[in-house]
Amino acid sequence: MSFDSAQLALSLPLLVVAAGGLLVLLLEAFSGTPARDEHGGRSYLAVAALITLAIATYAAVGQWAEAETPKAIYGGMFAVDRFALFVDVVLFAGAALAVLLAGGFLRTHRFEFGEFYALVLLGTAGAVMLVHANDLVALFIGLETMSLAVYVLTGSWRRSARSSEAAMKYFLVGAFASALLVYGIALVYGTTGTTNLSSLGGLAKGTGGAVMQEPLFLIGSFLIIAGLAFKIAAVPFHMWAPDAYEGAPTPVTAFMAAAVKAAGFATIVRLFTVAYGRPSLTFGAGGWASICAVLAILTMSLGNLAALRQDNVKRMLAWSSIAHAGYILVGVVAMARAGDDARGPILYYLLAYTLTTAGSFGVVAWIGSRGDERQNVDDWAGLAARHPAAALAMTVLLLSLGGFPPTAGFFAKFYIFRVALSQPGLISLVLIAIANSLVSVFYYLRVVTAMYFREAHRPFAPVRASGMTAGLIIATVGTLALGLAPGWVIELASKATLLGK
Amino acid sequence: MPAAAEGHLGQTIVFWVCTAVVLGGALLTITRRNTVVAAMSLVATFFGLAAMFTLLSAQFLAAIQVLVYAGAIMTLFVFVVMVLNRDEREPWALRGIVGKALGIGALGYLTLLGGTFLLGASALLTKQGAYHTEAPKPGWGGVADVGNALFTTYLFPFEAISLLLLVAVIGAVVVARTVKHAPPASQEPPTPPAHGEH
Repeated sequence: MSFDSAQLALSLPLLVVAAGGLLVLLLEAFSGTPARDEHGGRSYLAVAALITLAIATYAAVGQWAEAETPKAIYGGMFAVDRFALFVDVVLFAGAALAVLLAGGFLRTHRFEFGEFYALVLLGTAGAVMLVHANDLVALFIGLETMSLAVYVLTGSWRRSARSSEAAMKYFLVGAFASALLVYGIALVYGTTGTTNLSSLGGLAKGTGGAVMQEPLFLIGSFLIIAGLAFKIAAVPFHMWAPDAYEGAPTPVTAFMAAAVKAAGFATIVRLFTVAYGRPSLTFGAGGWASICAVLAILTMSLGNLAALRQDNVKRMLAWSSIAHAGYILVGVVAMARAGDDARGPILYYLLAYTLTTAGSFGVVAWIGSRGDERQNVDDWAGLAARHPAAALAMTVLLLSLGGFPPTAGFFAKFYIFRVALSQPGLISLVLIAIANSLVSVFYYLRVVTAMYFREAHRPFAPVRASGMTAGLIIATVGTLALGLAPGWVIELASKATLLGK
Repeated sequence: MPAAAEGHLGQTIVFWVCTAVVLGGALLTITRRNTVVAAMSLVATFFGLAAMFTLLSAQFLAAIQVLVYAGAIMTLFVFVVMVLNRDEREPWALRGIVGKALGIGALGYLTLLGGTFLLGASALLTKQGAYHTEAPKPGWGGVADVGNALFTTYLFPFEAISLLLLVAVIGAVVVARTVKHAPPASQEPPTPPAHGEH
């Protein structure tokens, strides 16, 4: 195999982001000592990162038509299909929001450093590799590239003990999860002699699912599922998430909750569809769909119940992001029966969730001032009177997370639940999900009531940065726009082709 | 266990000796409170693993295992142990003897359960399944074969690893950089001057 220009052109989104990350790194190194005052100094790096992400988005969108017939390049390692391109755009949106939020936040808390933007871009490159990976080896390397960048970003706020603690926990648990994953890959390779997802799928199809009866293959598959469940923070593999999300610098939390989770789910969808997508491998004692159904119920319920008890808004959003992973898992279970029909709703959910959650963490980043992050619900009291626009944005985002019409969150849940209801036997799962969404309304509205109906007990001193303002506006308007005109997005998402399907 | 399947007594003996070394080393690693002893036990585990790789005719992997793990990684471990300079005490203090007795009881129970499970599972695992890869060709697992696989089939992951390593290096620099401790926030005005980005 060699890298010819046609293959390179097909992997353009990945190449652009990786090259952009390297450029930003060099730009920082060779720009001399910038003025180290709290304003400016490194805004040009954020601008370079945004331009990179814009070009990469353009490249991904440009391949949409061509990718209608999926292709595998680099010796079958790298899939180019509409599914991956759609997730690419979601990832770029999440990364761009994180970059927009970061400038003001890092300057306010005085730890801006140039590598931040490079790490966001390189982490995104890892995520893109992960989403396109059609081989377990490429999947593992993509996952590790993404995870390493995010571990470092989590611990990058060196003066904050919580940030270091969060990074340590995230790193240890993440390394453990990677070990499970790679052990699972080894066992699957040992039984089948291949790491290629398409070949695995072909083997399963050609043998009528008999390969699943191999005990080593089963154990390997469970280990792979457990490793990926760690990454999407599904209960009972979620213990790291609240601490890591709370301790990380808030723009990084937005990136973790949005991009990392989207990439994890895209991997799960590709793996289950391509490698395990045969009916005999889905439901039943050893089937992945049964495991996912259990994970979904646990994740939704525990995430919501724990979020109910949080007084810290950032930690509440962290638990709520765990709960949202549960709702997406309902879509994954539905995919076992509905097949292609479930992929559109999952993609729509990932896009809606990325905008909404990045936006809501953005408001959390915005409200704090130096030495005072104002993360308690009480600290948010009276925000509407002083900063009506920010309170309105947060309200829209929280309503979207809670699933109220006409926001993106409503249609995301609606499409997922509809496709699950169209399949027999999933009614109880959907009922549990709906009950959980009702519970979630309480803790989202608690913040809204605090903002609108209580008096502020001390003055607000939010971050003032044009980038952050732009990020919050984009996330809020995007959340509303997706909810007001969901048709064309779900239309696009439902046309997403998947290699090997 | 490939050795037994081929019926070579010598290989079987080596396999079980290696198993004892690997498991014994691993047990000592997690039970010794003296960190240097624990680290050295880990070296034994690494060497045992390397011998096992050779048994599986993965000679290149065995050499790498010795060079990278038993060599480089262990040196790092020992350096960290030296830098941390912790007390070198053995366990088995008299305090907490009840907890330890309970722990040993639980461990015994788990061993019993695990043994039963493994006995059941080993019947399944040693059964030749319908899907197994063909036996390795002569010369498989050598440098030439690994190199061939790296630069043909696995060229993309091979190149992608460079990105992974780069991220690791940047990460190490970011995490290890000295922090200039800013004065605590209370001594400064909490609000930055109100103007936007430049």
